[in-house]
Amino acid sequence: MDDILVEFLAECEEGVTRLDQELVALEQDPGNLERVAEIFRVMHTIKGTSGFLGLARLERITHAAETVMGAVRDGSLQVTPEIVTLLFKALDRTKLVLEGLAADQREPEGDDGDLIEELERVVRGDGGAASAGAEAKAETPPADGEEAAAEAGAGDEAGATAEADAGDEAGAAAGEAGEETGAAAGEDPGPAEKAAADADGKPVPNPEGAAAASSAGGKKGTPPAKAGSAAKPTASTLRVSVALLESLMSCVSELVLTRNQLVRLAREIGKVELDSAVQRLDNITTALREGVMKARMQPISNAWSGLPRLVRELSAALGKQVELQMEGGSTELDRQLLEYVRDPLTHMVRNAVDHGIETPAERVAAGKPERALLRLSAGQEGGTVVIRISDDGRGLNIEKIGRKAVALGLCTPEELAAMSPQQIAGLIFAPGFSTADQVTNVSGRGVGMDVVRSNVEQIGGSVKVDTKAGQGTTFTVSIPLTLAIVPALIVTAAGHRLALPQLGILEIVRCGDRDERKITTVDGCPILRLRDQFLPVLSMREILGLDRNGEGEDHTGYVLVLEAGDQPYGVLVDGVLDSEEIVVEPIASVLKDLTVFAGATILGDGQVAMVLDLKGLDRRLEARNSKQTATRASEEQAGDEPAKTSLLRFQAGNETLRAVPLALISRIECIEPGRAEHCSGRTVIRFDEELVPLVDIDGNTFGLEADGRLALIFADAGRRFGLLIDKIIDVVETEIRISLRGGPETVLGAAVIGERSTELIDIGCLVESVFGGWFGAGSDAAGDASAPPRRVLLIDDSSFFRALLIPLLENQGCIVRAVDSPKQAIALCEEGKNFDLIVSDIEMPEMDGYAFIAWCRQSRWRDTPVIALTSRTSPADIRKGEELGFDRYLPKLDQGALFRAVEELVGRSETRSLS
Amino acid sequence: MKSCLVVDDSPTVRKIMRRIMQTIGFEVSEAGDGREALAFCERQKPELIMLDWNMPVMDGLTFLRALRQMPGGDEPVVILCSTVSELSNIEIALEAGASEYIMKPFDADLVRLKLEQTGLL
Repeated sequence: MDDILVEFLAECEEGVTRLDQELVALEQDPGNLERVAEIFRVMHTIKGTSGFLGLARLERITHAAETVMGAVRDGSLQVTPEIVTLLFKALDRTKLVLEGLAADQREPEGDDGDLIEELERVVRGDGGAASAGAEAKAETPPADGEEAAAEAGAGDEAGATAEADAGDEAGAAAGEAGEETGAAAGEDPGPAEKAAADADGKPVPNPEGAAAASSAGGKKGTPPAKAGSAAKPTASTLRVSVALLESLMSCVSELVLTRNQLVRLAREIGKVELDSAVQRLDNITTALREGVMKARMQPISNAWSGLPRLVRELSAALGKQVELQMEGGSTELDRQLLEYVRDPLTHMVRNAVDHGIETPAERVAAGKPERALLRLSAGQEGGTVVIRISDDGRGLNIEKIGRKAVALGLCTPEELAAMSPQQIAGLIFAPGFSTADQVTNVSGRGVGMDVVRSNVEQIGGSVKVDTKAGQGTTFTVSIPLTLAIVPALIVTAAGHRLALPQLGILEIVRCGDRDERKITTVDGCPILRLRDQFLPVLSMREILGLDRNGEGEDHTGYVLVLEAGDQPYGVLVDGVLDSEEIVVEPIASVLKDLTVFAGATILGDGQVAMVLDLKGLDRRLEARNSKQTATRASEEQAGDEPAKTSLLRFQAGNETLRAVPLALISRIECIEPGRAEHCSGRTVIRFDEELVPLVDIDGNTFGLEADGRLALIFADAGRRFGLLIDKIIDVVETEIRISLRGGPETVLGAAVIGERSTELIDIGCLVESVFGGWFGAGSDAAGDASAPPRRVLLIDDSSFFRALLIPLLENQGCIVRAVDSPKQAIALCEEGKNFDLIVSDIEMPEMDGYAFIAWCRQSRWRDTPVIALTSRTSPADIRKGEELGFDRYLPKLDQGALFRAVEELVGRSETRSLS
Repeated sequence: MKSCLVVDDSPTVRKIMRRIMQTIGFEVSEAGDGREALAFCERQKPELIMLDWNMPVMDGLTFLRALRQMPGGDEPVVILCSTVSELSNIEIALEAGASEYIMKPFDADLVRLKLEQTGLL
């Protein structure tokens, strides 16, 4: 059917209904000129519209009836019951024609000559109609109580017609339109202006429905038998009051609960007959719920219909040029929720025009088109409706926001420094925030973004801001489709059952010590490593304050990975029981301070469970984060009370968890195959032109299988060595509390770190294993006080080696004089100093070891034994060195060989035997 | 594109008028009665107003008189549309400030003719 015809039929249906009421009322109050004018107008409208559509019969009938009303209006005709009856007759004929029109899309055949003749005769003042009228009077139904109905109708006038405003869009989709109008009708007819504003732009093929709904009682009495058939053209749309919808909704809620209960019972009883009935009930309940919910939906454009005008006015007032684009206005949302987003949307649009968008001059200067683009889009994404408001303006001034936040005391400068631009932008949602330097008459109206956020969050939604300097800002508002009944996951924590709306749950991960996924503690916070992400984890027991285990937390259970805002996070629960459609009941007022709960619900077994609030949990997380930042900051300030130490935990050799302080590790090397060398009784790796000795966890330093393993490189007192390990487990920050001493020498003790016992490795002991053997080989000989000290001159350009060798030689009972070049040694010689032994490096700048030995053998020191220490240890090098006069030619890192050489050359036993 | 405001209490008529006006090449806005039309004109003045006479809340004539009192209110071309063809009515309309008077029902050709007469086309 032509959509214009559909619309016309709907319009006429209302008009006819109206006339029914008005005519009855007129009869009671014949002198009411307003009513007369109204009847005239309605008839006139039908006539005029019929003319446009070429509906000749209708036009003639209504024209004749209108003429009668015109005469009444002009005072030339008195309203009598006869005339009313005649008008009713005309009305009935009109209905008849409309009925045929609806059925066949054309006017039914028929002759209205008699009717028109009668009507015209009345206007002419012929008494002919009088008898017919008198007769008809008896038929006129009693009008008790209909006065009120008619008044209600009149009161609706403004609202009703305004609603009809955008009837253009109603199209032929009468069914759909019916659902939309259902809610509109509920705007109480009283405040007609409000109704008009709300209904602006709404497709309503049935503009007087409000009246119809509010006076249904009065209507019933009047239309005779034909009322039913006359309703046909619009039978597919019907207005119902919001109150009715709400009561239906609460019935459905109860039904859902009862259904849940039955489903549970049926499961327990396990009777097949019962099961199938419950199954049907289940399906029907779901269908009913969906239907009722859909009936409550309204297009989102209802909430933003006023925005084009707002933007136009604002941009004109501010001298800006703004083009407003709106998309997805037909996206539907629960009408209750729609009310909540109206103001936030208006505010954000106002903000965008006022703050976000630059003046044309600024835009041109920035290389942008003068005319700014403000886009408003809405769409359904999963179970949420997402509304985006984006402008191509200057973007948020992150720096300014940060300064302001600090000035307002919303965060400390330290906290600010740690924030990402995204997080700083998010501060605009903090209470009392407004970036405008002066409060303009446009944006500064006492509502800030904090109100926007609280409004949106009140309905379980979220708002995010995304901004790029110079490119614009996008606000994203996500709103759940409906609040009343939500699918939820029933979980347990510390023996309590809790419901968590499924909407925000990304995934569920089983966690336990034996599972692949484990919760570890970093920085004092439980963290779950999931694929390549680290998720902060909140323990539900902890949130509930029901962690009976105290600190030794049990990290076994399920982690619900949730998304709220930008960052996913986990909530650890003990178990996941079921998925159930729950009816969220508002939380009792005494509990409203508990932000982690969104409400309560009755579960299938009749017990009450609290409904968790994703936003509340998210805020709990934020609070934890900021608290931690604060704690860390204060710890750093306090400095000397490092209550916690970061430990690197690893495994080496076996499954035992071992740990070393992270601060001692200078780096971690992965040893490629072939990189480790074995020489002079130790396993080493070359590292920065230096041979770094390796040690394993048991203190072995030679014959180590290093290929492919990891080495923790320690720098201790200028010496470096590597500890071979198998696997790095994690880094934990914890107080070191040694609970068990003893065990192998390299173990400082054992401590319980996050549930697992961990061996703390004694680095000092390892140093001794590495270097101590070096020093220790001749330590038996040391300390013989009776032996005269041997004077040793050490020449090495490397301060590292000088530092290494001095204590080593001193340990051997030597007095060491160390110089960093042969030149200085020569100077000492010239000064007349004498030494028992000279230990010299080979590779040195200016003068190397070879040149020195050549000089030495020509000098006063020609008989002093000289040991060369070098990394050049090929046989050719050794031969060359010995030819030049070195007494010993030794690899630099072979402390055992050095000690033997010292003993051989200037040993006490030898000395003794000589003496 | 020239702007046109269609003022009529019947959504059906508005819909038909919208089609006609769009055929002729107007950008069409709508108002359901005189008050709405007046509110619209307070924000912006369309170049053409197709005005119904008989409407609830505020009729066409009252709107027309109010419009012509507004600053810049004399600019829009106003065509009064009515089913009444009495000369007296036409005179009342023109006195109130209508630019033209058109009998309902009409079609696109008739409207175009009237617009040519007013010089808008």
